[in-house]
Amino acid sequence: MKKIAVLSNINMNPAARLLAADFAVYETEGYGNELETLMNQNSSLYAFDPEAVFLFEDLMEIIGHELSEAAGEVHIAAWFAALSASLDSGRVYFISDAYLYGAETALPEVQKKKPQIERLWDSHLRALVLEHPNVFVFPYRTLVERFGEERAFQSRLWYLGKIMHSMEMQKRICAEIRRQLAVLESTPKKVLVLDLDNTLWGGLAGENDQAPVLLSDDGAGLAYKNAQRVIRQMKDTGTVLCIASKNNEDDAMEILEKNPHMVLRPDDFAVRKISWNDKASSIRKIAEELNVGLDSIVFADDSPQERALVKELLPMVAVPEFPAQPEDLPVFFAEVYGTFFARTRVTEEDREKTAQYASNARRNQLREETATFEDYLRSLDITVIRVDASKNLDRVLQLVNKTNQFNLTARRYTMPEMQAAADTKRIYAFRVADRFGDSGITAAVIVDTGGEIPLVEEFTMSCRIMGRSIEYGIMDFVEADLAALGYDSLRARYVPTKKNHPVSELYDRLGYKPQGTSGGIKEYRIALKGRKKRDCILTFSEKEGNRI
Amino acid sequence: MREKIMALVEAVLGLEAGAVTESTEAADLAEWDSLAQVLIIGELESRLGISIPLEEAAEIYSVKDIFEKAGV
Repeated sequence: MKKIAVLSNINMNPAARLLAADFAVYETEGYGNELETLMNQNSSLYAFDPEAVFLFEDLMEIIGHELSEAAGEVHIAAWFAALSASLDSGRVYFISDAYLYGAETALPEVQKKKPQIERLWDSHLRALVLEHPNVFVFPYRTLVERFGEERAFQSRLWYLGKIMHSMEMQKRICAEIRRQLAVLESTPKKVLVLDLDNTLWGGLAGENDQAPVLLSDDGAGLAYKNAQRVIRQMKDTGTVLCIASKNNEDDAMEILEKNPHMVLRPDDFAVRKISWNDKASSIRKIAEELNVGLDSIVFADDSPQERALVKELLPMVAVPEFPAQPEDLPVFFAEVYGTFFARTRVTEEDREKTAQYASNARRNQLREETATFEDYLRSLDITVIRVDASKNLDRVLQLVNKTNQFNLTARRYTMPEMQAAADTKRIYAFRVADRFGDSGITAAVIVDTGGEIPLVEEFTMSCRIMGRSIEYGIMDFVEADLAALGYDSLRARYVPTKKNHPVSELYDRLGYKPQGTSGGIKEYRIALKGRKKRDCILTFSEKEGNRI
Repeated sequence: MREKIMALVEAVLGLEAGAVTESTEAADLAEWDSLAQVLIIGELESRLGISIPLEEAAEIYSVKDIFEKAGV
């Protein structure tokens, strides 16, 4: 199964879950930490090693609701700088284009600023795509515009868990992800072979002099004309057009040359096979004349019999289903373009280029990127503030009982137990802030000092602050505090649950010595005497915060 | 209504009918994680019209809690 990752600054996990039926999908640790995950070469993302990474960025979050172009540019440039340092040439990336949406975009004044800010994002994105052959634009805006804001977004899950899109929109995003990956994998197509009657125009050429074919500026005739306009644009972007039709050549050429509503003219077609030969033979001849493989041909024909014949005799040729109603034709051809011809694919040449600089640059890059991750953490200005747990017991209780992923023992407490712990044990509660804001009380440690050697009976952190090495600073703080109280060593344990696998090795990483395992529970110990302070990029503040 | 709620929880979690009972707790099921929790609350509103106030949503740890918040 193909391995993919869906990363975002908001909660896209519902989409990731929907995709799990078709792909191996990376399970994000929390959400909103997509840059940290990408920049940290030691993150679980790189252990998972996805072939394709989809990045969905909520522009309003990126600019921190600062709706001026100047402020927007600062935020957007910073995001792209961080991202481009973390790009890995060994995989492909799809990055969403801009659609600015938030509580305040309902106001007409904000609507006016919307295109300006979206343009900032899109121009950075375009520059990145031009620079990196393995980076593509994910057409997110089109998805929203087609479906409409009122149906694409919903507010309840946003306030509950930063889930911005409705379930229906999540499904549409997933369908587009599947489509993009299919395009990426398919052989690039070069040639579109077209039928004429009921494909480029309605009705049959030469059938009835009194009722000319359907092609005009209104009604069904306009649908055919618009379909031709789409095909015309395809030709201009490099698609080779050909004709394979069963007609009297004179009748067909009469229309091709003279009908005033024809958008396409004879010269727009590289090869024309207009005869009573079967279409498989015509397509074979077209491939010979153009010297292209049959697998680079797409065949569009309204007749199910003709399509079935070509599929049967020339299975290499792509034969899309054809719409039943003429009004669906323009969209059909646009989809044919998107599926087979749009240049969002990695060409062979791109692959070679990618492989070359992958081998040259990877080693250096790794070192650089690790440095960049630290720079990035530094730039966040993370401050950890210890708060008085006894004054915030309800929040601590909620944090400890609700957190599943980053929870070392997953021990659940009742309120009386928590109150007892506040009286007899040491509870450390921390709020965490960075330059983007304050995430409130999001980490807690409970140490039982009743025994000879104190024991960390609970250590938990909200997924909102995961991925920033804050856990190192917090344990450092706890150890220093206990050492100052005269304790020589500290015990800790990891109790596995169905959900806390991400922290199964945490104490090993923190330098604790394993003391054995029983019933899956791993026991650890660390000496506090003569301990060295750990390197961590954050500031501690003892200043008591407000009650949250 | 209780049956409908349990069926909805099963559907969101992708479990077979009967997998969720009145005594099921979130901690018992690997599938019932924080994301599933949010989706359950979203579906309760959109499918069954049960609106749990945002600030109470975090206090749900079990099927019984849902019944209590929904008043059924």
